[in-house]
Amino acid sequence: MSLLQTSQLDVHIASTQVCNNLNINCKPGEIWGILGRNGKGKTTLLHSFAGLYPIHGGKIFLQQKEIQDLSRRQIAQQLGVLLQHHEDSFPANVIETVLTGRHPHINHWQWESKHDFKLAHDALETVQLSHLKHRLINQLSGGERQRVAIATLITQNPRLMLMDEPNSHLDLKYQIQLLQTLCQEARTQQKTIIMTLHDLNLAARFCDKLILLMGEGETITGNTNTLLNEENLHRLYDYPVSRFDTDNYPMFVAK
Amino acid sequence: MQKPLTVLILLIFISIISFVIALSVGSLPLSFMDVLQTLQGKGSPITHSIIYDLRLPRAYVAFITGGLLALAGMLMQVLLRNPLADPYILGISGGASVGAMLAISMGFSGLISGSAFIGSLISIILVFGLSHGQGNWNPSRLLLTGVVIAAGWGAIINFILTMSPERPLKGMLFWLMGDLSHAQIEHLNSPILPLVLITGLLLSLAMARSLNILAQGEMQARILGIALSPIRLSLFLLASALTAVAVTHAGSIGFIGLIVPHMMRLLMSSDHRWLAPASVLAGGSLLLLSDTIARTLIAPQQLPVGVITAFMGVPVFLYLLNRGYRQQAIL
Repeated sequence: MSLLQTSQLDVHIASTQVCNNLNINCKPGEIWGILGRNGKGKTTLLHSFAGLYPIHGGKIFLQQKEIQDLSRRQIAQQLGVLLQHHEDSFPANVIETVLTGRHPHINHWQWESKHDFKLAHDALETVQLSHLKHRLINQLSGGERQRVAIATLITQNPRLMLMDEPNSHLDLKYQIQLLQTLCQEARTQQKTIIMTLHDLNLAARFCDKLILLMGEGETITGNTNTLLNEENLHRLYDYPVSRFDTDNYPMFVAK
Repeated sequence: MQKPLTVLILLIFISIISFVIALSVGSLPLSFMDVLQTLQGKGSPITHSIIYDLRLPRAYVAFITGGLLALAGMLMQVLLRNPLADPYILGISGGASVGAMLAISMGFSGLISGSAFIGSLISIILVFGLSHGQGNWNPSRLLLTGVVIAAGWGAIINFILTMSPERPLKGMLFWLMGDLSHAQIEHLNSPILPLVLITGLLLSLAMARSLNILAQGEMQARILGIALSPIRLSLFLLASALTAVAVTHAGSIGFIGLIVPHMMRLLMSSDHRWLAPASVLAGGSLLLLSDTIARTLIAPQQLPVGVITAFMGVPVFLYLLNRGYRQQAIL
């Protein structure tokens, strides 16, 4: 059983190769991280997993079905994406925005039910924004806007969550708290998370498996603990990194 | 009660009051009772003739045209995700204007509407074909194509105006600024206008929840399960059709399509399920009241209604915008 599977996946951005012959198998309850330098295609790879970016070769399977054969609505019922940038040219308020997460689950002429409102309110509770629910989203700070986006994803309630830099703009407290909540929920409810990260310490703390984008299409995949060694990281970031092992999880410091 | 519902009910009352005012006011003022009796078929022949031959057709065309423009403006703004978009931004009114002016300059006054409609269709097909050509159909490309086509029509309009003899010039200028004086009793009997408005409103309501999400960007829309091409195409065709019908009946009346959707967003909600019906009612009332002023202010002379919509719309809009910002600052 796998939630997301790729077979011989080949993705390019113009002339840059992101991955070549990438085979991964994300099982329920697993947390995956994508690491790499700027411009190596972390976001692009995440988007191609969601069928939002055209791939050049290979196949992507969402719960055993090839993603190309599914409609956007079918995809949205199982897969949610946290984007890095938000477009707010016609701002709605916070609760309306969070409720849009229910769109793939509601029939055409139907309005949001009490159940949908409850999910949205619970999600706002989780990201600790209930007090701002009637505020317009263009009046929020960067971190608050990011938490609204996370709440929208929680309200969508997909089995597979793809998150692009979930910790961007967030205070230390929310970086840890929110990732902890999301990852714990994924583990207990057999969901899968795939996220791009910049922070090695967060990756070491939360991810079970990693995809390292080394550049020129080379990828290394495997268990977090074995992959995050000084040699791999030096190559990955083109800069030396020291690893210190502690009782819980390893810590990383740039030299 | 929910705030949007309150506003919507209020707008229904305002619409009815606008009709009563439009039917009462004029060179022969009628009382509310006169209007009511005539509508029930109990009035004198004179009031009957004033209402059914003159005021009602004009009020009816004004209200529906206003509704069409406001709805088209709302759809265009979401399609292009640009707050400055209005029904005319893609050049549809330019094509219609050229068609109408050609008919006026050749003296075929009976063909003005038909030729305006053909002009707007040509413009729609041109913009669609040019921006859709390579299959890559994004809002910025559509916007640029539309704006360039509109500029092209503008040049042709100026050319026709410059070359035109004195006599048809005033008719052309009135048409360009929007003019409802052509409304006749036939319009009351033809089902086209209400049919287009109601169909447009129903289709908008069918898309409304998707529009809420599309307003958050195309990427987010795809993520939440919306197939982009069909909704873009429906939005473009629907907004264009509504605009073409409005322009054909009343010339290019400005401001309604731009400001009414924004007014409603500031007043009630940015949820398109409320916004669509509210825009129709508010656009209709605003144009109806504007036209009533346009034909009575310096009677017996008439002003182009577009002048009044601008005079009324601009301050109202600026007030709402300011109020909106103040509220935001307090919150």
